[in-house]
Amino acid sequence: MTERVGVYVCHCGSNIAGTVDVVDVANWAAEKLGRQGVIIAREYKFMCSSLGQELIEKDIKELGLTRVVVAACSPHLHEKTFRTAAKNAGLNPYLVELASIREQVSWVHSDKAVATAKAKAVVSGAVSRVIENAALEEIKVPINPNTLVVGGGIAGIQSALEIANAGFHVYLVEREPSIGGHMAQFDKTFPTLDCSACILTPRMVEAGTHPNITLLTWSEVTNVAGYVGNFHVTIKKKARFINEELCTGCGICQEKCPKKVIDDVYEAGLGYRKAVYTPFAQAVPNFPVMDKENCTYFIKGTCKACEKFCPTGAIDFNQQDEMLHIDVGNIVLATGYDLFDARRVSNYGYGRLPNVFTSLEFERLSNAAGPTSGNIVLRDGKTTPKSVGIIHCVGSRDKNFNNYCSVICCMQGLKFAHLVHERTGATVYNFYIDMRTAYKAYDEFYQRVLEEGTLFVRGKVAEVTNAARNEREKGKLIIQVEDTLAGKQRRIPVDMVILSSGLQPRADAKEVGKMFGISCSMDGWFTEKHPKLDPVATMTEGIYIVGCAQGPKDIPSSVAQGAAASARVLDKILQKEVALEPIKASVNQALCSGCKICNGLCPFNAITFIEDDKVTSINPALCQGCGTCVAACPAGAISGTGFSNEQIIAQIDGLMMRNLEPIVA
Amino acid sequence: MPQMTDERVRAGMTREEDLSLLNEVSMKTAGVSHLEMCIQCGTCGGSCPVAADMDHTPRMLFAMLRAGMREEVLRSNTPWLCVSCYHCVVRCPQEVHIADVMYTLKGMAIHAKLYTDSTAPHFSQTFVGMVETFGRGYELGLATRHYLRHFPLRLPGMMPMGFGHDLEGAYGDRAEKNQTHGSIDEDPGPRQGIGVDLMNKYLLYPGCSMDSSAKAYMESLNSIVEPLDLHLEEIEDWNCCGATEYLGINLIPAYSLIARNLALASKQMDSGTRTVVAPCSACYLNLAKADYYMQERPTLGAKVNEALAAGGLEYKAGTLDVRHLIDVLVYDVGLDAIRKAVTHPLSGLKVVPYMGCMLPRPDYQHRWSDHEHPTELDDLLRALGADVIDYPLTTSCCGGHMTQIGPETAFELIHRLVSDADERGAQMMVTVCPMCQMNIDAYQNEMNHFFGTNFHMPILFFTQLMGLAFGKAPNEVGIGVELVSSRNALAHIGVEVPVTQEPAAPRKKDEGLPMPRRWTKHEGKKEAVK
Repeated sequence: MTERVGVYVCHCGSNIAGTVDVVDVANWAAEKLGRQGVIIAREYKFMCSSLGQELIEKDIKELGLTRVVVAACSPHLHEKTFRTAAKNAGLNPYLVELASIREQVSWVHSDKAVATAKAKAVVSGAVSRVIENAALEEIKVPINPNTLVVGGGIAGIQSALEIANAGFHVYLVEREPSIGGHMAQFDKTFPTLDCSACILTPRMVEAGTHPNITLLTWSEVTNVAGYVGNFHVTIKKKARFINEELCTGCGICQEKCPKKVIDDVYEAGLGYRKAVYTPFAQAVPNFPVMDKENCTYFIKGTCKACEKFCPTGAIDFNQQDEMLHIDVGNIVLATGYDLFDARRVSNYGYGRLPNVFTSLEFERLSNAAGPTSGNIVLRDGKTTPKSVGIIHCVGSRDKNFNNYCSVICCMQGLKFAHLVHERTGATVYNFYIDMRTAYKAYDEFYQRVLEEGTLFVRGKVAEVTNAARNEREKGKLIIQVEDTLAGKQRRIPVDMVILSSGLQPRADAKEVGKMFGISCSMDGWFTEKHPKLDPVATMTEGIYIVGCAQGPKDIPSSVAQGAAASARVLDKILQKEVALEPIKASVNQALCSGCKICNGLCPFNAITFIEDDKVTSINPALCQGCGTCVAACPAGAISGTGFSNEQIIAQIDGLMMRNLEPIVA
Repeated sequence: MPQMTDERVRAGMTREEDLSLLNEVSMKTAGVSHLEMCIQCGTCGGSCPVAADMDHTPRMLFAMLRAGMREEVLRSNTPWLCVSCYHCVVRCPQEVHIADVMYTLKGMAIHAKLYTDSTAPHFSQTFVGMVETFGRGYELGLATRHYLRHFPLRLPGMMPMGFGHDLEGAYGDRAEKNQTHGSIDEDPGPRQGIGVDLMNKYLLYPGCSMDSSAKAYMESLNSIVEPLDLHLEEIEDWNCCGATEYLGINLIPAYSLIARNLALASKQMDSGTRTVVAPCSACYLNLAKADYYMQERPTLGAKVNEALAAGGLEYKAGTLDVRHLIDVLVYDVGLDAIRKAVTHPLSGLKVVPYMGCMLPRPDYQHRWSDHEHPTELDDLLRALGADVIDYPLTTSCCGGHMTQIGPETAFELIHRLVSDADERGAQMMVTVCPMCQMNIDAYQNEMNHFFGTNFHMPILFFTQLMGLAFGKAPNEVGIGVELVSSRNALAHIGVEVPVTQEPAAPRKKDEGLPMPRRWTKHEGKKEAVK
């Protein structure tokens, strides 16, 4: 053996040392792996500390190490740290290998003897592998300074504005006719009770008129190819049937359109819109869209009232969907959330009992621009409720529906209590399991609502019924609940029930995640790179997640995330080029039979077939080193640098302790 | 370890005992109890139809279990009042098997001789004694015995029940009949002719009620099998399922008793079906539950099979499909076929569909459209042409065994059901469960007496209305033996001469706000796939 290998075993405080006998592992490596080339093995409390790194650097210089194995945490965390240390000492960073004895050993085992034996095997595998490693050089590619932001809610708007204000171009794509998102539907925002529209619409206008922002509403991303710095995105711009060049947004078409439909999106099903419409007065852009499904002309072939009255001739029934192809360097996903479908909790009667409302319905009901001009009334459209019950945790914290806490519902419930109290003087009950009012000025708002006289009942509501048992209950909705603090079942008759419905991932979150190459958690939210230290990045470089797409959160947190992702994007843009991992697949064309099996498998479109030579070729700039083609090639003609067959076989041999004395008698 | 008294608990010596009591209850419960997951939200106490009569709500009981308050927990009347309606179970956000924990606590209380003055333990033991002796239960005999001992003054009010329900015999005859039922010589054999390769073929588990209090159910069922081309083969030598009583007395024998039926049924699978149909909701639940828990807790399955082996039987959990009669009628036979068989539509008959509690809950196999407001019975009655009234209490409890052990509690529940049906203009209630039928029919008079009311709300089995709609005569479908007569109600449709439906009054222009669309099972499935 000509290689000189150093092995460094980390205690990670007690994270590893608590379960693995790290001293034993180091001594064993020095003693038993000498034949493999190990000339030094050390253990240290925190290898990632600067002292730990200096230890490695010193050994490389003084002992002339040619390979380094660090037995510590997962390479996701510190691979970069140790590669940099090696580089500083003059060793090619790709000659460093991490053996994960924390995530794969100490955290998943409890028996110290067994864990120690497994740690030795993992170290042995890493030593065998590192000997086969080749010195590699990073590939540098230029970064496209344009950015794509998907989703025009408050998080996406914030993100787009930050980047645009820094002087770079942003494509802001929104699937609805206007940007604004859920925030545009709200009346007031907690805890300050700012008018939602008043604080949102200036941002919308800014985004709509910003010279660096290309606004693409009524549009959806249909395909994403490429990699960080060089994404190629296809966007479907759905036909609006309105010529945007000619339309002035005067609104006559909406006024004249004879077809009224229930507005399931913006009015949450509580109000109506026309077949040609802008969802709300302050919509950005203010061009209407025509809803082909409901338009009388599209259904019956006659009508065209809008066309007749349009003063600028902007109506265009022949407009077609348009496919746009853009190149961007980074992508921010701000796709938001869906409201939990309260009909699923059938004991609360939503959909069956008219005066049970969802939170979003109530937002529209209390909104001055809503279907009742802000009058809080029952579903008959006129009666003001004298008593209102607000139920928390609807669909959240419930194994029958969603396990997680939806974060915003407690504060939302308190906000509703305040609005009902202020506008109707009704008696208000709030039914909660736990009152969660963390964050700045939130608990103060709870105190305020308590002072206003809202009645709080600690108990998850069992059912809402209209089956009265006595005169007092006749004609009312009866909320049946155990008041857990009083220890008694109560039946509380009210006129109106508001369900503080939880948030859930978008129905198409999985497909969207797949399109952008990122994963979803068990609950369906997009997964961040690190839950604490990298909450806006994802495992796919160049793709960021902000707002509720990453998990339930309130407006301040969504805005903060939007801005945070922009800082990350700007950091990338200003570097002008990005260093790509030199982990690439390459074809040994002498072995390639031209079967084309790999051709359709590449998720990055990096594989092309050379017709003249009847062999396959891989574009190293596009290849992401995922290894799919390597595994698929029946001839073994494709090999991945950093994951060569030799490396893998050597690692398996090492793991199996071949050529070694058995470690456990 | 010395028994920890509540005094010592109060003195702060709770830690060890605390965990041991919770663990003990958890270990003694069928299935996985999830007791340790309780977040004290009160869904159970809020859902319980009899919470008002409980000294502690279930939630409080669970908190006391954690605190190691053994004596207070086992002296509590809460488990004895539990009617096993499973409302709390399906609503619990933490999936605590509340009803099964209640059965465990009953058993522990009997064992520790700590139960209250309630007559419930005695009722359970009487029931179990009867089943252990005769193999099958007999509600009339049981009720008579129990009332004689505990509520003799109420007995005169119950007199009509005896005449109405079983004109044939007294308790003694019945016992003899049951005793010999299992023998090969006198086995009456399957009720229906057996054919091979029949599409609509099922193994029938009739249950004890179908021969006594729910005779009308059996008769009407027999009357509809032919028009619907349904083939039911009775499980040979079946025994009682233990109703809601046995599970609280002794876990393994109780589950063995149920599983014996499944074992017998699985022997008959070679006749071309693996589906067991139970017309009684309690039987359906017990059979489905045993099948489910034997899979969830393999140790339970092993012990039950050990017991079955003594009789040369075996049951591999999951082998059979356990289904209720209405499930088969709605989803296999189908509403279209039923609609086609209707010759005498029930137009003009105002009915409330009463599904009861044990049918849609806890729904181990996800068979029902909804746990709270299932629409299967509504749809079926509409297919018969009846005017179906939306009934919010459709899955509320009829009182179950409370008519026996705490009649006043039961009267309250019956009153809620009957008064609401009456308020909504129903001419009759329609049920799928012998227990519901008996409680609302046989105890309505007593309930009226108790509340000073004068309700007259007949309750029939859905199969009886199917028979009528298929053109059968009232006496062919067991009409006339119910205590609250359905004569006036049926007069509205004349039976032979269908009343033409009056055209519905034109609706007033709806000025109100639109309603969200109704939730459908279809959407639920879509959601689940996602």
